[in-house]
Amino acid sequence: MTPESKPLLTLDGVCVAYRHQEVVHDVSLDVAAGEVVALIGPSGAGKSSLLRAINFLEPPSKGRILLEGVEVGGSRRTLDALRRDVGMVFQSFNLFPHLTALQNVMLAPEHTLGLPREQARERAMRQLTHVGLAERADAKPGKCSGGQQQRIAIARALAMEPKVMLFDEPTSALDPELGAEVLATMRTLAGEGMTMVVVTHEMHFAEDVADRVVFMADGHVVEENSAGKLMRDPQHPRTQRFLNAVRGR
Amino acid sequence: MSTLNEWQDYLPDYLDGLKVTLRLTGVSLAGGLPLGLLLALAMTARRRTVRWPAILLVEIGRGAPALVVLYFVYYGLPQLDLTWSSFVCAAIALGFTTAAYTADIFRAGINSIPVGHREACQALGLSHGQELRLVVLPQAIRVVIPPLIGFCILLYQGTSLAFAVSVPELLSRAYSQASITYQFTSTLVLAGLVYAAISLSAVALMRARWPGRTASVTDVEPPGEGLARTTEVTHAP
Amino acid sequence: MGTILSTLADGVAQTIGITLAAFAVAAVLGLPLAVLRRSGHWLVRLPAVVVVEVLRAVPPIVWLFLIYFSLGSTDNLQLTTFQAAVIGLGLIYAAHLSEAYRAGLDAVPAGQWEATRALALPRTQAYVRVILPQALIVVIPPMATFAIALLKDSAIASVIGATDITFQAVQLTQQDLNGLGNFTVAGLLYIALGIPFAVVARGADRVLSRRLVGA
Ligand SMILES: Nc1ncnc2c1ncn2[C@@H]1O[C@H](COP(=O)(O)OP(=O)(O)OP(=O)(O)O)[C@@H](O)[C@H]1O
Ligand SMILES: [Mg+2]
Repeated sequence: MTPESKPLLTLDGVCVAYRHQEVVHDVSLDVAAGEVVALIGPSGAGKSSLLRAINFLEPPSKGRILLEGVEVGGSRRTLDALRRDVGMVFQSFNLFPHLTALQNVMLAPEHTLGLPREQARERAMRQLTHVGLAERADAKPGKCSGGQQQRIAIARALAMEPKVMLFDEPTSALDPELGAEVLATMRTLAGEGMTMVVVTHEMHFAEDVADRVVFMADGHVVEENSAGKLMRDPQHPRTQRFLNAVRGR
Repeated sequence: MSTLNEWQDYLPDYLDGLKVTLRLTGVSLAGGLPLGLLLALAMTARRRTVRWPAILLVEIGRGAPALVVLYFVYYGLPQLDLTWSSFVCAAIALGFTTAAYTADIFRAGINSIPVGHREACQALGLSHGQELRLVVLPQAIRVVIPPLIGFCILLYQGTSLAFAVSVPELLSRAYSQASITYQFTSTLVLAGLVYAAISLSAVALMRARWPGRTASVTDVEPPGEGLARTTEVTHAP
Repeated sequence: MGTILSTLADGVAQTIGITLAAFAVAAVLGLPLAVLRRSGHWLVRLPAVVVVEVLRAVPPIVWLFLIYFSLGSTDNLQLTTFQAAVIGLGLIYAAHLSEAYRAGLDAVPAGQWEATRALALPRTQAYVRVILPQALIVVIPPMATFAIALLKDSAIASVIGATDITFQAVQLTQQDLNGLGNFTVAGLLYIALGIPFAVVARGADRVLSRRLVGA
């Protein structure tokens, strides 16, 4: 990130609490346009909580979220604006089971953005094609493989033409083989310059695709660095221990 | 203010009526519950000649309106030289309906016991009776108590049907007060309040004791086989 | 039996009419009650809770009396027995159905709500396009059971003078003194009228279980 380029997304002292139990403590983070940030760390570190705080699925208990320098939250309107600009992909897909793939993808363009139906359909078809699933357009999610379902979910988020995409362990509910096709889709997205924040346990993905890796433990950011440096030469003992453990050394 | 004064006048009569209502509830339960358990056991019996008549009785008791059952007893049975007071008629009709509904509750309780337990009993050489007494019923009771209490509340409300055959219960007292004073609103509202007070306290007690079952007296469960296998209990029992 | 049936048949239309009309009222009013009860704000929740609990805490026959003799017998408002029965039973079953709706809404996984929020779908659109279609199929079996219960409860409309099956049976009995036969036929008639609802319930049940297996 060059000093003069303004960050696209800013987290400023963000805390997340569940019933007064704080699980994310004072996290600050800048994400530049086009940057891919991987969020790694042990289970229970607060990665999902932090990610969900970014689009207010779990409103931060303290701190601020800024999108293109504008603070979000407070009013329903800025919140809706934020969610329009931030796409989210869930671990368990959360596709709408009663709608076809195409209907899933065109729902938000039509009813959130208010596009005419034909335009929404066109846009949805484009995104399905983008993730390589044009031929599954009329299938219900239940009839698709897990990998296909997750790619439909990615298309659904993309159809809002968001500025940032959030991924919460998008492959951990999938067999490695199916996970690979999802990772390939995400790799393509990253190559196209999409700004992404990805919670992941896939160390290869973090190392190869992410520009920057953030390591979290116990609700704190322990260490962050460019992907190459953090993965190959972690400074903090906690990070070293985690990386050794997941690499099975 | 005047309504309160009126209510003060009505109250002694209403309380007499409430006694009849509660007595009718109690008598119907005393007759209906044991019969319901017997029907449930018969419904889960292996022999078809035992099972089918029980299922038929239960389906009739649950499928026909309680009011129609009541009229059947009140207007119909005298043809067979079975003539009773209206209170006894109401108790018989509501007792039969109670048996049909609780049979279904008991049966669900019995069926909730894992097959493995019954197989284990047979492997241990217990007799059928021992199996029921020692293993099945003690477990079924726990499953069955909350819906049974729910049913009791509905039965309590259902005794108001006895108005139709002139049993001097709570609603009848309210109605006769109304036909004297023409104050339909105040008389009926007071009756409603008395019904509601007892129903709501019973529901509250039940929820305090079994907090998991918050859906209150009419727990929704998808129906299974059978014509009118409504597992939730309906208003007119 | 034939003559009994032909007399009671005069009441069938009234029984079916009361049942269907009251069910329609209940189905329409039950939904907002359920949605209000799920609100995050207690000030919204409380009135809905009170309405549901009070409607269910008083015997239906008392409601019918109140509506027919008290509300519906004023200078401004004259209700027919049919109207009073439909209003009374409709309100009571709105309370029952609201619980069924609530169970259906609760059966929709939280992830579905989250997805609609992440997509910034307006709340009504989230309900209409995503949540309700999934909730309603779950609700059909219990709704059909409630319809059967309502059919049976409709018999109490005869007490305020609605000319339904039960009313006809009472009238006939006062003429021919054959209560045994008349009320047997009446009971069987109610059981028979309930069969279509039972069929619907079972069909929806089958679709549901197939869906659960297929998902
Ligand atoms: N809805 C919730 N209510 C209460 N506590 C929660 C909730 N969600 C998460 N937590 C707690 O917050 C802490 C952080 O959880 P979080 O899911 O953010 O961790 P994570 O890093 O995503 O872990 P994982 O890798 O297992 O997904 C955990 O201790 C968890 O138990
Ligand atoms: Mg997580």
